[in-house]
Amino acid sequence: MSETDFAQEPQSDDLSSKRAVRRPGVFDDPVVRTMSYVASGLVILFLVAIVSVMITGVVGAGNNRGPRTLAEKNLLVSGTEVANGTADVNVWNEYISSLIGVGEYGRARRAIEDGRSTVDDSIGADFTLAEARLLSAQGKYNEAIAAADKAMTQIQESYDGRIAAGGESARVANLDGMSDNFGVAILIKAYAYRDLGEWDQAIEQYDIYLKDDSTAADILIDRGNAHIKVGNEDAAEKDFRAALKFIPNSAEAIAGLDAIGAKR
Amino acid sequence: MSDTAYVGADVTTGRAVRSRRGRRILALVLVVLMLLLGLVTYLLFNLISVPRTSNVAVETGGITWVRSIYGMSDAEDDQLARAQSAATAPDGSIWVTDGQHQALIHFTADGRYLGSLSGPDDLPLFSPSRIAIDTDGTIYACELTEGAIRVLTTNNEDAGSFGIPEPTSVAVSSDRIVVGTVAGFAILDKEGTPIKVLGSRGKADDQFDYVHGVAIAENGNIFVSDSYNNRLSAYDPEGNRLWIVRTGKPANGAEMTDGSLVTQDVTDAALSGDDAMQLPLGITLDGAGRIVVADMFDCALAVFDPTDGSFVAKYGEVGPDDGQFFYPVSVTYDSERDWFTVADSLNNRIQIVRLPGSSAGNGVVSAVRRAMTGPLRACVYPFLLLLLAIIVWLVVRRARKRRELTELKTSPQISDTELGEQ
Repeated sequence: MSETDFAQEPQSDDLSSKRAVRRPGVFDDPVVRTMSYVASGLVILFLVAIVSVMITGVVGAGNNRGPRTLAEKNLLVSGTEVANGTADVNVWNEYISSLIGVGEYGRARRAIEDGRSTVDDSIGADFTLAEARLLSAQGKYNEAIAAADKAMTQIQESYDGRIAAGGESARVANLDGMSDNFGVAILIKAYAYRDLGEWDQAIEQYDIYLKDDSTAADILIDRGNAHIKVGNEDAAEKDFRAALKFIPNSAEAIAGLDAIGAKR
Repeated sequence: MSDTAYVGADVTTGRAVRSRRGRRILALVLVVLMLLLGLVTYLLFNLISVPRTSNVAVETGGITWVRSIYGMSDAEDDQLARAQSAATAPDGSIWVTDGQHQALIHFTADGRYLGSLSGPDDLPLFSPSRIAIDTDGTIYACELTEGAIRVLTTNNEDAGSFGIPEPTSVAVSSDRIVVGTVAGFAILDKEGTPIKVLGSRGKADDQFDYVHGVAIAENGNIFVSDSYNNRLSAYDPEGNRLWIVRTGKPANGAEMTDGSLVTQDVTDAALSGDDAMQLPLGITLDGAGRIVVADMFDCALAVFDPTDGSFVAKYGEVGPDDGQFFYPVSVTYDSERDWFTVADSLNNRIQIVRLPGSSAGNGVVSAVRRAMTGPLRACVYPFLLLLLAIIVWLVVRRARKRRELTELKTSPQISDTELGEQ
């Protein structure tokens, strides 16, 4: 019934007269009435949903829960050690990586800052590298590349400084070599270029990495795939075959060979 | 203009204003309710569904990972260590043993911790390893070093024990208990009285070397995983052997001869290749009746045909990520949820996984079963209510239309022609 219909109802008898002078309520509006039905339905649905989660055991007894995933477990274990004030930079690294893994980027950034003020990372530039990882996970690839560059510079300068200092410091530096984080930084750059679709730069970084570690089958495969992207199938085949020398049944390497139509 | 007309105009204006206000208020209420429902849905998903584990796709070798259970809480001491066994109770809850807690640890199917049983104070559990759950919830636990199967109720009451030397695995059905041992296996009735004891330790066909897995089919047939002989065998309910197959190179091939360790190559079966097992341990039967075996050293679950023990498929990848294994030692199947619970020993966790083709019934039944294990199950009752409301609405609407039509037909002022036009 429309508003006009309602106002012009015939008043042929007493009842109709009473209706005409009655102050009509909002529920006489069919739209309001329909909306109120829907609202009531939603309230009922909401209440039934609450009962339903109880009946189906979604909530109820046993609300204690331990970690459900590896990332949660790592976060828990390393988080406990960090909370206990560990000075082990590897534990900090694992903690930050776990936070990045579960997508808690804000906490990861705070942990990087806390770590910087708690632990000495002058040799491996761990927290700068962690920042690069964080930026990469956030999809800020160019900033990640810049952070990885910064970490590489820090690592290089630290190493050179220790050599230049001579004595025990130089001896240890010579013995240990440059931090492994240097290679990690190269890979962060390579992956960032890959995710940006800048394949030539990615290949360049893979080349640098493989110069020091030519047996890294997974990196050979990554480079092979990058070579496919730039149309260099010969180089790709060479990389896949090199990878198969180290991992004979590597599914990724075989898939790469298949992709370029090369014999297995 | 009459008085009535004035009243009509006032009413129209006032009503229109109230109606607009009412619409606004109700629109607001609707938005709030929608948001509330959205929030409830989000919380439900958060409660049941498991967060994404990694930005990178994990290679799982054909396994579908459902969830993992790492521990009872976030406390470090409450984490599982060297998971031994995981068995599903009739209500879908999961009982777990590990190498650290000397207890039967109880979780809901969603992985929430319910409690632990350590046995009565005067007769505590010593080091429970493999477990099996009866249809009434009674728990049978292997106490390897104690040489016994302990029986416990879910109230932590002792319900007896059977003295069996070096029990390594246990399975229970409605009328049988089967216990695997270092040297064979025993079929017992539910009182623990032996019906048949089979085997001695060795390599011959009727001998066994660590039966780390036994399973009982619905028809009573018994399947045995003879671990170090790397064999599977099947028996009828009376213990008569139906078949025996070698599934890979035996782990007990070496022998001391004249003071030297000599390895004898076994040549009676194909012992290499993708289908070869490295070390078969826990065994179970899935909804399709297939035999599923945990291959500890290959970090995989292998599937075999129950009629002749022929190899069907192998699933799994070694690794630490969720969905990968590092020395899985036992496996059980939950037919209601169509999933397997795997004790992933060196990853210190229980994993719940699915394998292709494991479900009983057709694909629709399987899909519904699987869906009901997730957050969707909380939507069942609201959905049914909604369905009911729609049906009622349709019925009422149809009845009203019919009534109106009848009234129109019986109305003397409207001719049949007019009715036809309407």
